[in-house]
Amino acid sequence: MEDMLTPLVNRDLKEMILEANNKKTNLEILGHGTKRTIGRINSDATPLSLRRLSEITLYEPSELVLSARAGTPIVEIERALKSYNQQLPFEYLDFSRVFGTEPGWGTIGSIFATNFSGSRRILKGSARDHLLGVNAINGRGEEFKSGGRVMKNVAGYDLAKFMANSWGTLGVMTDVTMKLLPAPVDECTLFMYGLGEDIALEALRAAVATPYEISGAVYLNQEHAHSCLEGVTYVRDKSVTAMRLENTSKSIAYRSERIRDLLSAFGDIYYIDQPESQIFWQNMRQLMFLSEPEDAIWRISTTPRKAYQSARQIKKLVDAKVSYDWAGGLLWVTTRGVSDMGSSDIRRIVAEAGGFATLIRPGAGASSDVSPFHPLDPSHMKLTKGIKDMFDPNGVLNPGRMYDGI
Amino acid sequence: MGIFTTVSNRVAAKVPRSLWRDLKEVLKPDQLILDESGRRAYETDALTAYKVMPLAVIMPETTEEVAAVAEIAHRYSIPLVPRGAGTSLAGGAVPIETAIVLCLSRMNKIIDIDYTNRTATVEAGVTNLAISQAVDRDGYFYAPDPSSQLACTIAGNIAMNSGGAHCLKYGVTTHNLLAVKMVTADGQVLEFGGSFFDPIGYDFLSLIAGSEGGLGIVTEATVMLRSKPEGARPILLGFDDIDAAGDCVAEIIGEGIIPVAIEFMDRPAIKVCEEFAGAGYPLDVEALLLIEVEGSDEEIDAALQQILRIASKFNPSHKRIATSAEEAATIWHGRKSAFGAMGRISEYLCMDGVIPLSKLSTVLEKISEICKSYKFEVANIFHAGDGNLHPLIMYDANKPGEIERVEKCGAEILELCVLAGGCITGEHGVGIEKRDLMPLQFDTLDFDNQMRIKQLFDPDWRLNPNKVFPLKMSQAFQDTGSSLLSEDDA
Repeated sequence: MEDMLTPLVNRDLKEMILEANNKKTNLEILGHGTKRTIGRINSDATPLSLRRLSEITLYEPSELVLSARAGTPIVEIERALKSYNQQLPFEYLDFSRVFGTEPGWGTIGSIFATNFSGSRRILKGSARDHLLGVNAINGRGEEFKSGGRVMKNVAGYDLAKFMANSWGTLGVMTDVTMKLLPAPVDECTLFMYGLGEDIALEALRAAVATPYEISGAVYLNQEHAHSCLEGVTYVRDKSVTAMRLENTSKSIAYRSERIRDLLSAFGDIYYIDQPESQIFWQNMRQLMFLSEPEDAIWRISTTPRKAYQSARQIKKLVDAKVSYDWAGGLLWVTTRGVSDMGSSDIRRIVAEAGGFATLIRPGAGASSDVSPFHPLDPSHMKLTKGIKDMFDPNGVLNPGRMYDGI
Repeated sequence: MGIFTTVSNRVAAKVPRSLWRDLKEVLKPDQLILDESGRRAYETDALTAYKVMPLAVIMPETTEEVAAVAEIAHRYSIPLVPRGAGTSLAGGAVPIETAIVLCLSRMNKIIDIDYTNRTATVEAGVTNLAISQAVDRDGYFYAPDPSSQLACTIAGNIAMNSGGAHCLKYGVTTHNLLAVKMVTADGQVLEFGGSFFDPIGYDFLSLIAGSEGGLGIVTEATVMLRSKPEGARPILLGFDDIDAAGDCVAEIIGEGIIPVAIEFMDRPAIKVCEEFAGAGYPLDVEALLLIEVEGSDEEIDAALQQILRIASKFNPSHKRIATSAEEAATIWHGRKSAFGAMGRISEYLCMDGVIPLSKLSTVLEKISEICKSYKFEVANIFHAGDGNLHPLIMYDANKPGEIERVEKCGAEILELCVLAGGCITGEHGVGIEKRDLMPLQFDTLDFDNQMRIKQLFDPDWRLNPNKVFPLKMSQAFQDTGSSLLSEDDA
């Protein structure tokens, strides 16, 4: 067992950070380590886990608000929410299948710090969007707070949302407060089989342009689809185009009919009801379609208008499989057998289209000098360095995890 | 705090003449306003108690012009105050006498509408409503809807992270913003975000939204468009006591219904709005809820019936479901004209605190006590779904000392909101109005962590000066690197 710091109270955490400053050492900030291998790995750093800061400290169902210590596993939060028929508004990604860790053990702090959002992003926004308040300790050992427990708050700069997506490089969040939503009474998914990518994207875009509040709009290519459909009745060996509706049963019945009419020209539409629909989207959340262990995995947020064209260009240059979420705004690309995992081609194509490509997992035998995070242009890098210096001047928190010198 | 009126000839005399020459080189003659009457239109915003004449007003038409002016201002160490339509209720656009106001209202072009990406890219001075109007016939809208949406600009919305009645469902500006083009304090042009979700690296957009023009001058923005619902209709519910209305809201949310808006008005607010708009509000109730739901006709009927069923537990004395689009519009017109209606009968100070919903009746009771102790009348308007409370405190601006008294009264109310677990501003921003109340919410280290960001973007603190932070603390930070006040200043 490696040496790991596990503070029990904020004071200990603060002292650990101050000591790292004094001794010129650095810290790897983690919860249960479910996303530990994403980003650059710094083997010199001492792991510091928040797993003992684990408690739901406030839950007001009628105000749709919950606060928890940052090390609280998501599974515990979901258990509490379930008893009041509520849920997190956003979907998080569960990397347990991809990295072989235990499902549900991602901590709520890590979910905000990494800000990966799943399929519901397209309708309800990201994790960051629902982060109302944060208490954190920065790299100087200063405890600070931003936001609060109410739904709206524009007093001062929004450091709470700024902490999201900063990967523990600016401060260690100790407490997070988030907005909740009632869980939908019912859900269904509409499947279409065997559509080509461009046609599928057109269908998905038509669906999300309706007033029917599509909360998931996904295209899985034939290979990816297969492993994501475990537990779901489906037509084998075909691509799957999937659209989710979450609402009252009556609304779902009405809206799914309307969408069926609208998309009838694209092909047959199959209705998947709640139990199987839930399984399918859980499989999506767990990224089961990316389970091929040899593959490198890229997650690309891009301009929907250019998604198909970018994917085509990538496939022309690299041995790659592409699936789409967010009606084309998100590409999941797996590559195989290229030493740079297609990095230079992928990043160039994505930069031209607008967006960014994150390397979630290098493939077997891949070179380690590919930056997991999309490179920043010089002006952004300068600002990013400036921010890092303000929050963590000695670079003790997750140094290099995102970028060199950050 | 209080009224300031100054004419800045004295200040102008100290500015090197070459400044005007340099500005004239990059601007057309009608873009530079130097005469007193021209400048006077920019001495205040919607917080009219504060007035300061700026050194000059510039009306740029392009990002390049903004950048050129910023570069010149940087060379001459001139403060810049970005301004949209001047609708800030917090003094967010009130200048200082050494500053040049950069009024972006001429930058009012919609640059691109892209339904595939579901985005609109617009110049800074495009009004909030103009975006929705431009996409309305194609079935889309831009969601944040501040009451001033007819006039207020998108860059002003970004500066203040504006919300509106419908943000319960759709979020505020920060949730609907994808990209900005921004001119820095020294005249560089930076771009953040794009027509895609989530940031590359650190989330600078989350800082820029709500930074009140203190980090840069936003000249373009890309915002998310949403599909319009098939329809929307409100219901009015009147209650004989405030507790019942508050409990009714909690129960609706507890039952899993998230209407698109839940607005609350107390008796004085109902009276003022009804007299102004003739919206058909009942005048014999203590509290009125305006709840709107969206969907198809059948979906709306079902949701409203469910809300009625829940509400019946709390004995509403008035129930009215809008049956037509016209009736819905009339009902909303009453609520949306609240500020204007109030302004017709009295000067008022509009507060913008946020509280947890469960504290509503206690907080309203205390607000009433506080206002009574100052002998002010108060009307309360409340975005009940998200806890954003707007007490409108009526006062007589012509009476000496009244402004100071009403500000003190307002400060007590905001302190009450913070003590109840809330905050001092939910959607109007801090501006100059609430900067000295910020320590109710933040301590020295909180301020230091915010001010370091300000320092990074604007090392000379020249962008929209004297906003957001308490003056003494920001001065201490600039002098010593910490906002901690010396014993003499504390």
